[in-house]
Amino acid sequence: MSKRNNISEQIRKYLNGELDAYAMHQLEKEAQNDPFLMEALEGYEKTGTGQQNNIEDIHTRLKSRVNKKEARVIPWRIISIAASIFIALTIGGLWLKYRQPAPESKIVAKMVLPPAKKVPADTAHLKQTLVATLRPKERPKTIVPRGAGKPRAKAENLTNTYTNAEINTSAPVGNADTKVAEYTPASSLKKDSTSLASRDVAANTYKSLMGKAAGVAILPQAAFGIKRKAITGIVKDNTAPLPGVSVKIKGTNIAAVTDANGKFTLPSVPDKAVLDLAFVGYEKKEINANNRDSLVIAMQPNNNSLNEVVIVGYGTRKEQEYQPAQPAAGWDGYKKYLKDNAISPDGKTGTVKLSFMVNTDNSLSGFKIINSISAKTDSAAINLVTNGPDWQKSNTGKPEKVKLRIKFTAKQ
Amino acid sequence: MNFFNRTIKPDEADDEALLNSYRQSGELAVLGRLYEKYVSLIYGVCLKYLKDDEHAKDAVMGIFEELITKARQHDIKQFRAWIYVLARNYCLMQLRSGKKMMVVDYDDIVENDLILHHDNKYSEEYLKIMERCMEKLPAKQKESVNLFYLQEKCYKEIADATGYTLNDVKSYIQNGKRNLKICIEKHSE
Repeated sequence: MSKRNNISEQIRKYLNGELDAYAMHQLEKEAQNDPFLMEALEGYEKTGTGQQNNIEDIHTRLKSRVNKKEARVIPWRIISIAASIFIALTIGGLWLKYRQPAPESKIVAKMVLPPAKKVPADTAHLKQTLVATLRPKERPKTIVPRGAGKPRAKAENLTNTYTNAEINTSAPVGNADTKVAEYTPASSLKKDSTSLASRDVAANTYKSLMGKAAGVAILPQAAFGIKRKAITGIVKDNTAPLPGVSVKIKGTNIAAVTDANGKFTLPSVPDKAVLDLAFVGYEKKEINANNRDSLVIAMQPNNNSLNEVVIVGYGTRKEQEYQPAQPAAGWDGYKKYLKDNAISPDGKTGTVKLSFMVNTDNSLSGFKIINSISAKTDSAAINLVTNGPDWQKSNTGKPEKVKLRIKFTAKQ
Repeated sequence: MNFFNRTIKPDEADDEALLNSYRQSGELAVLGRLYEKYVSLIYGVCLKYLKDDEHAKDAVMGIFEELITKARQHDIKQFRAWIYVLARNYCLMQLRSGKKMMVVDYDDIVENDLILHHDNKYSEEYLKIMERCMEKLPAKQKESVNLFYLQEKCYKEIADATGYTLNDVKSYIQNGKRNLKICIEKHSE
């Protein structure tokens, strides 16, 4: 330990000029061999003297740091507290979430009205019965919904009219005019759905849906006095079913989309409605829905659309790859040809280097000797090329210069 | 002329004892004692890189924090050299947020064990080679090395005598040493 303090002392003195020349030298020499000391000295020299206070400060800090207990101990306490709070919040949150009565908006806004889902009645039956034919403001022989029966404030204006209307169904069940059983408030729908006559449920949900479910369009005007029915259909492309076709009731936002088999269902289509069918690549089609509940529709392809989409994958790139001019039968054969035939006519051996153009009609021209061996050998080289295997032009569409080396050997 | 020899400090054994003691006991006080020995040097180095008193002080403490974890993880052979590297890297990392700086590798700076091929360093042949190499040095380097090592002058004296600046003197000495080393190694093969 003393040596360390000595060093600090020495450094201090050195910096303060308290050392004699030789002592300074000693320290400097030591620094030469010791990068640590060297850099420390540099640091001090650059920032001036008076560092003693700072060093003392550091020592103090170090002492207090060392004496701190449980410095690195993981704060179990804190973690456990945090964890309990977190769990409590989670439980509270979940509890709140599941406690609320399911709001009406839970009734899914689908094209097909939910009663099909909620009521375990026969779906097919429902489709037909769903449409409660509502007569506008007739004198009631009917039941007024009991007090709490009003579903929601929003639909109030509508329910008023409804209450006065006779809920009539086209159900096979007779007694269309008979009093319908007790209305139940929409909110109790969920609980008592099984006990209700399907009609009621349907009617009520339909009612309560009015003004509530987003996807269901309210047709206040059009609703009255117009027969509505569900329409199913299949859309084809002359032969094959077309999925994904949009089928819309003209003048409204009610639409359906054909499924994988090309089939669609529109739940509540007013009589005399017109259906718009649209699909990319096909001519738009309009169909009268009169008195029909099942349709087969054919759509004609649209000539304006892209009939052919060419997908260029990387695989096709090859054709565009640059291909230089080369022997038509390939280099291997050509090289062999040269090797077999490059016999020097005048005994002078060596490599003749020449260049020539391969034109767009695959002909050769413009022979130039770059590296000559002898006149005879040179012309022999040119002849070899001219009379040799055919060349193929490059695929750039322009004449290309080719350089060739032909090694001539002496006659065997 | 112990250019290339590192003086072995008796404290090394002490360092190792303290380090082992810490490793076994986990007592911060022990580590603190070890660290204290080098605080001045570490602080100096931090000053060099960070240039600011307060930052340097914080850095010294920060390095200590790192030491606390690393002392147990790493197998430290020579504490002094190791803490030097740690300090330097820490400072460089601090600077990194401002500028881009390379982190120094441990191996780069362990110049201490310079290898000399000769076992008997001071044989006549060696001295001859040394002399010849000295002659080959550029004038200023030769002069500075001579004054520093052979005549044992301090930088200030050399600067006064030659008229070179302090920094230049240091620079000549460094480069002279390096050239000598290269030259000697070349001739020693």
